[in-house]
Amino acid sequence: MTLRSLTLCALLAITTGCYSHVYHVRKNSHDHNEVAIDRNKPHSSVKWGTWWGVGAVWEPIGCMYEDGSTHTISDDSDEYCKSYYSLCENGVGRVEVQPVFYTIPLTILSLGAFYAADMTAFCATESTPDGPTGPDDANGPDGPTGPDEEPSGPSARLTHRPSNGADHARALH
Amino acid sequence: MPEPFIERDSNWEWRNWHRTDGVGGKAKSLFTPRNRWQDGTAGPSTKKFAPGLAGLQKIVGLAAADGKRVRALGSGWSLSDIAFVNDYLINTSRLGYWAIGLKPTSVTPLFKDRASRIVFAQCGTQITALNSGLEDRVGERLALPTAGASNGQTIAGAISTGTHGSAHGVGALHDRVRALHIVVDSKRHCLIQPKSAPLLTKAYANWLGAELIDTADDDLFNAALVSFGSFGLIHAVFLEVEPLYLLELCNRQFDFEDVWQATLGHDISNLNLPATANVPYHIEFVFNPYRRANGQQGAFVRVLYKQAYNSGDTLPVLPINGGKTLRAEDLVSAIAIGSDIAPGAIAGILQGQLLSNVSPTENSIVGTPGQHFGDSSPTNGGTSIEIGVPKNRLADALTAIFSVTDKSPFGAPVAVRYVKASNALLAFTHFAPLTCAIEMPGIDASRATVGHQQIEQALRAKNVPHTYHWGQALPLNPQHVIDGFGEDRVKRWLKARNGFLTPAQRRMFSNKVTDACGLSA
Repeated sequence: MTLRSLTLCALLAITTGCYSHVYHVRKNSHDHNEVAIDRNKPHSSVKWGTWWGVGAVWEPIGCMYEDGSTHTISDDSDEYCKSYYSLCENGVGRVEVQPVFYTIPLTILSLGAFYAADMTAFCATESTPDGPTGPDDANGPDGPTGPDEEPSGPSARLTHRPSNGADHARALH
Repeated sequence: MPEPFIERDSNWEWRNWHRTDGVGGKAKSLFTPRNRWQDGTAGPSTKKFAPGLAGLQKIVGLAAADGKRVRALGSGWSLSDIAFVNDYLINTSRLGYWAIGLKPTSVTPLFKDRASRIVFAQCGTQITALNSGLEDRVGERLALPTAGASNGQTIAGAISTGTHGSAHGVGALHDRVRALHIVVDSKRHCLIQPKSAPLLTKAYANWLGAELIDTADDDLFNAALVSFGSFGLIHAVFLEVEPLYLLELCNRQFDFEDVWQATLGHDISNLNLPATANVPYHIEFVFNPYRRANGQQGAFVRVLYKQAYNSGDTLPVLPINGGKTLRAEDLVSAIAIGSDIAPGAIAGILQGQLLSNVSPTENSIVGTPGQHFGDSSPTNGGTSIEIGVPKNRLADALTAIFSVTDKSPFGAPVAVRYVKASNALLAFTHFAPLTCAIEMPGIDASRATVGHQQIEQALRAKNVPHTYHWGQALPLNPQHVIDGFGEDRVKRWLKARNGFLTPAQRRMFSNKVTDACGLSA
């Protein structure tokens, strides 16, 4: 192995971005595959763990303004919100936790009092099928009947607690 | 009608699922429509998809008014920029409504006996949801007739880019699509189906509020089928599925020389695989191009035999090993990481990856399609090329590829799968009677990029007709499109698009990949 190879391997080893924890919910169906998730729009934020976990709960929510635009609110309420909405109607399907570049030095310098990590949550989008679709007769507008409510799922809340390098993310159902 | 609920994020930095270098970028807006209205209510019980459909129409109207290009994202499975545009991106992941069966008045007499096996799937429905829902269906259990190697794609994304398996008797996933529901502007959405085998009736189109396009031939349907978003926003797909079947997996490892003739002939009868009365459903050869000498065991064969599922039988349970379900593994996951750092280690690393990924099976493993073609993991930098060639030119194509890998090694295996020819005009699996799909997945390193370019040159030098998978790395020039698909197919595709969309709409539903490939006009 050349010197260049060794150097690059060493660089890879100390790059904190290479390490992550991932939690993915499995389905209740016979195949127990991972649930479908929205991969395009994860919710991500650098969260701080401090003494005794004070302020460690991350509870983002969507906010819709009068003009129809939307924004994700992570910590505080917004007086201009026309309405709030759940970011993940079917709960969270996947959580990734990754240290940021200053995680290790900060944790060492603060003797473990402060720990920062990038948390990313992906909404579950698993869906089950309806019955046959289409009009009941050649002229009619009717289709099959069924419940009107939104697809439901367990609400999820992410908690973040500092610990000694173990998996920091949990989805509480 | 109430206003549809749409999330809008500005200056959204979008990356594909494998985080391929150079794929994606910053979009002016990311729209995420949902199947709900702004007041929080859902669509009517008979049309739960209605808010999502209205949302797509609203976004297209906005793009037209703002003079922006617009494109729908599936699951970000593609390894090219085929689904990306810098202007308005639509995240379709929340549009996952789907239903099994069509009511009798919805279908033409041709499909009268098959109406219960037609699936209406909204664009964002993922393959994994379809697999589970079909296989767990109360009454008649059902299954997709074929799929890609893994299950995270959305149905619209999968068909639009030509996702396929190696079910040589079936074709690719899009070959089982019977009709498309496409949004072209804020007021117009259309049902497109083949003239020769129409699925839907006027009554159904009226119920949906869609225009049922009447065409002189099948060209519009065959053009729109694999069109990567170029004909508008696909709102829903009508897919024909089949009764549940089981697949018996058998993996074996060989020397390259022992399987060369079997690969070229698509014939495994001399490989001494377990005797079975069943016809192979899926045959796949995977080579370590750097372990082709005798005794190096650099060839792997994966065969899936089709078995009937007897109604009422308990479904098989696959072992869960090491915290994971048994995975057929998308081969993009079989990476030779570090190929640029230590080229000398490529052969050994690749062999280890293949032994893990296509590990020889001691006993056959029986599972459902959803179990065999299951989860896969993102690679954080994976890329791949996949080339379609006619079966009778497979020897020339593989020889050309090996001539490149022998001189300039890069970390990728060579996998060969076989797909029945498609009628879709720009399906990369269009070569009749069988297209051989040669895939080389790996890490997006400079060695791989150079290797891909050299392979294109080597195939041209040998005059091998070839096409590129739209969802993988591909040359950005119009010549490979003309050469690979033929002038006639390309002209028919463009003519169908020009007849269906206005010039402004054609611009709106184009992106830099279609620009470069001469398909935006």
